[in-house]
Amino acid sequence: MQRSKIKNISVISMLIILPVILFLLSFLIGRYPISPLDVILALSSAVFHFDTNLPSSIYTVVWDIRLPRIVAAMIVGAALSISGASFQGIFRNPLVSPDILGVSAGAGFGAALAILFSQGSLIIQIMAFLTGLTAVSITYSISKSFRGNTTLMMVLGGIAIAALFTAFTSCIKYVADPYSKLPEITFWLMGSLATVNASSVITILIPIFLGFTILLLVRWRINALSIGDEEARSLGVNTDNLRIIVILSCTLLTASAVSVSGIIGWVGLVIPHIARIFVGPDHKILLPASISLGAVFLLLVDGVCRTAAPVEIPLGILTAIVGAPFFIYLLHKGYEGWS
Amino acid sequence: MSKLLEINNIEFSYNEKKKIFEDISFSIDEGDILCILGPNGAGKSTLIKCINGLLKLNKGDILFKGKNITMMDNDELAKKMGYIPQTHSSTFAFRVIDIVLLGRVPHLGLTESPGKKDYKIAENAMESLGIAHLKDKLYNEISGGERQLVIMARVLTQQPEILLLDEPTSHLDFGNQIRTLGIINKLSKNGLSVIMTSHYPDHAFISSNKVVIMNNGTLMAVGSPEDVVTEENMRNAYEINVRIMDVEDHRKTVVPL
Repeated sequence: MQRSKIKNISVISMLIILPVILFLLSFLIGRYPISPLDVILALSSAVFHFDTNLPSSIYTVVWDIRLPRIVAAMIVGAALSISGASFQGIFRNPLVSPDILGVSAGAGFGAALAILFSQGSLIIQIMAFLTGLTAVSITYSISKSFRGNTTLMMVLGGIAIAALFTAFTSCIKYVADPYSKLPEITFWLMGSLATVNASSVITILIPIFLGFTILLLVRWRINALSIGDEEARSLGVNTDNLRIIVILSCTLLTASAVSVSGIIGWVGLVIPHIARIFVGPDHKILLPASISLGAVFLLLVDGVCRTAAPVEIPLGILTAIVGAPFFIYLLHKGYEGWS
Repeated sequence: MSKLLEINNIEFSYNEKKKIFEDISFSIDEGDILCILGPNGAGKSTLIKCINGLLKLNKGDILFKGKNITMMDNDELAKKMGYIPQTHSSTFAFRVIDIVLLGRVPHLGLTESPGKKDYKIAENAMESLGIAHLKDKLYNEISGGERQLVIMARVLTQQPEILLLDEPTSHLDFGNQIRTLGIINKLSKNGLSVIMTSHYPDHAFISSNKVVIMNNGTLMAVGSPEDVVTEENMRNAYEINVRIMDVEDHRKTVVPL
């Protein structure tokens, strides 16, 4: 008993401290070498308004290049992970990922369309966000048109809608200029944070904030949904309402994340499992833990993307290459899993 | 004074073709234990779900202290009635205490999570059923009998006035079946009312003061166990011949021939 309490406290403090440390360390990673002292000076002098004699290039690298990218990596990782954890809970299925209802496929189509019509990055982002939301709304209305097991219909409908939007995206790739547009579309679909800047991060702050806040507020009730609809209703949960609240929040988060980073698979599926290994399945602790671990994971992987090769590696590729073996290793270490 | 729970001429069907049951009426008072008997497919579990508001009736109404349950929200209803389904499992490896705490859902707002007081209520419920030691065990790894008690603790944590139990003894060994009936008797002495379904007519004699027999979607008989669990009714309901015999302390028992 006493030992498990100590273990809990150390796990929780690790989940708080680790993102903070990695956040600071990430400023040191990159082609332009900056000393830790300069990073601290550059960050704190702008906040506390004192003068330093640092060259302005250091300010540019710290504030305009690295900060947006670090923040974006943490937000995207956290958003995908908390959405994955919530979806796995409300669909009672550990194989579900946040794009199960078609949000990524929809967003990919919107982005491809915007790229085809030579739009700027802001329009690409907004298009991706809106088509992502549209795809999920279609999935949801399909499931509502059936009687009976709406959860199953929602997942199956999501698979169908995702297939449809992926086919649309393929159409666009087929007609896109193979020397300029096609590589851009392909690169977007692989997922990357290379083009992130301050304005693309600021654009998603409101939907991200809304999504996180709502999910964290209702997180304990997700436990009730995760043991079954009928039991949840008999316990007094308004299951339809709660499910719509969770789906809406997760969709806001995932669509926002995908709109800045492109499609990054694997994170939303695997981080919730890793979080469960550390803190168990109680969503009251699981959701905050997923936020922390998702942020940490994507920050680490993006750090590798930035530095491992002379040319930047697309993030979506590396999340799986780094994540899959690590996940299998953790499963071997022992998982008090599901039945 | 109105009854605790009144069921008036209710009818239910999943689709237009076949009615699951019709013309069902009965009522219970505080402290009653009502046992619903009947063959497989008679509609017992469906009836329990209708009483809990999980399924919508075609006809008739169900009144809790005179108030129609369709006028109540999910959480209001969950404070009046606690339901234990026939089977329950969890996809995720929750600890026992997490499962029991879910009984506090109807008492907490949408954005609230359980506090000290709620933990105390959950722990007391577990203590009263003698399973306090299971608190930190994983729900998926305990035995079927222990799981039944955990769900029972959850429903007590809900603090309802009526318990709806769908075959509370179905996955239990002989000893645990009788112990569960003992718990049900004890709860009713403390003022809880119970409606349960069972496959064993003997259970009606052991722990109920009222019996409903359902057959082919209709009500075959309602009354005290001694009046209703008769050789003739058993033959009509289950198509077997039985003998009703006396055991010590004037309790009856059903013996198949």
